[in-house]
Amino acid sequence: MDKPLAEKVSELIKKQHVHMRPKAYFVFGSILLGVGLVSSLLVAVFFVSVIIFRLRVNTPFAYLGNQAGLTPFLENIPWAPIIIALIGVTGGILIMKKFDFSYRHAFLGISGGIILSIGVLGIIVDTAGLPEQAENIHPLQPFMHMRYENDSWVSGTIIQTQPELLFVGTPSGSQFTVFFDSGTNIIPNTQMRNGEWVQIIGERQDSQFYAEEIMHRATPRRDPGPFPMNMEFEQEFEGN
Amino acid sequence: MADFDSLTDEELVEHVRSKDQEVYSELVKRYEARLLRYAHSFVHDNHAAQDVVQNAFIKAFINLNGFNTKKKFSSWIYRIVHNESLNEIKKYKKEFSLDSMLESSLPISDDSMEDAFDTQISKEKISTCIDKLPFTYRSPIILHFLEDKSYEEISDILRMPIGTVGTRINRGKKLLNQLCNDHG
Repeated sequence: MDKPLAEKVSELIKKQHVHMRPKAYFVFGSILLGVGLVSSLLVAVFFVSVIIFRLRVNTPFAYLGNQAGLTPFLENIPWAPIIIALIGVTGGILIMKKFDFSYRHAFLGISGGIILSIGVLGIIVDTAGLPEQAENIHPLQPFMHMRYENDSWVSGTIIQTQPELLFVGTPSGSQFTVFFDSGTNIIPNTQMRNGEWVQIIGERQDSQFYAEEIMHRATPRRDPGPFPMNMEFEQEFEGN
Repeated sequence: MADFDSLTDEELVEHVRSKDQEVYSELVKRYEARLLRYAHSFVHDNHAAQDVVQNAFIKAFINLNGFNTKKKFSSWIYRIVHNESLNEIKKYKKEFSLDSMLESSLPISDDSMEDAFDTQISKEKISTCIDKLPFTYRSPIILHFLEDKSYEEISDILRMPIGTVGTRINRGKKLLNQLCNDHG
């Protein structure tokens, strides 16, 4: 006949085949879980701010109005920060699910709350100017690196305007002579001024660029917010 | 041996942790029968249910220092048995597909059926029909009607919001009512 369950379990414990895990094991586990959660959320917030910063400076969606705009659009989307932010958000939500309180509330509500909070905090961090500061931190540079030129597009600041001619400098230091004529689509169709930010689609030949479409607007904010930053780029153009 | 009857489950856990590990058998005795019944409702085999509950008690003992004595031990141990039972029946995936087929073939009746449920269907009848109930609704129904657990305790055991527990119990009741009536 089978032994009673209580007896079987007791026997196993008595023979020391079963050991209770020490309290420290659980304390350490909880600390790790907390650290993991905070780290995931911080990573997500920071990279959301980087995404906002890069979209704000590069405005890749502006290229989509042009037939040839798909390539510059895809090349200006901050893919790496988007992927890392998604990993951070997903990790944060998965870790949050491990906490005791989480199942009492609807999963969608918790996930929505986390995503919304990360978005709002990302905007705050971007407004504070932290991504601009991070551009100067070496390990973060691969994620901050923005492209300003390729064979079919260029973006930068107008250094000088002449009839049917623009001199444009990119933040990475390149300078282009941009030719345009009455057939060039200028958006908005107003006079372009020195210091404005331009996104140009066309054809590049060395340092010359033949524009099909020019989008111009006020220079995107690259100020440091409350944080100090390297102002070389701005000073360089002020000197011009 | 000391009399532990006057101690709550949580006080017993504290005693096991800090004084005498042998007292753990008192907790096993308290829950053995109920948990065997609960495990059996999933695995439908006495030996498998025994194994599930024994494994659950051993896992509970190993992790006893991780249990928060401010919470209910009963919810915790039911949770462990629930997980162990799921692991056991995952070996038989056919059961899941049968459940989903049954669920999709059963129309939900109106609210008047629900009212009739409470008065007309006995615990005994629930036990006979419950195996035909889709898995999603079976656990909350068993815990509520056969194990007399509150919505809050079921929420703790199944790790789902209390609102979801309520919804599943209500839908489960309607399905169960229909199943019990269809099958005499």
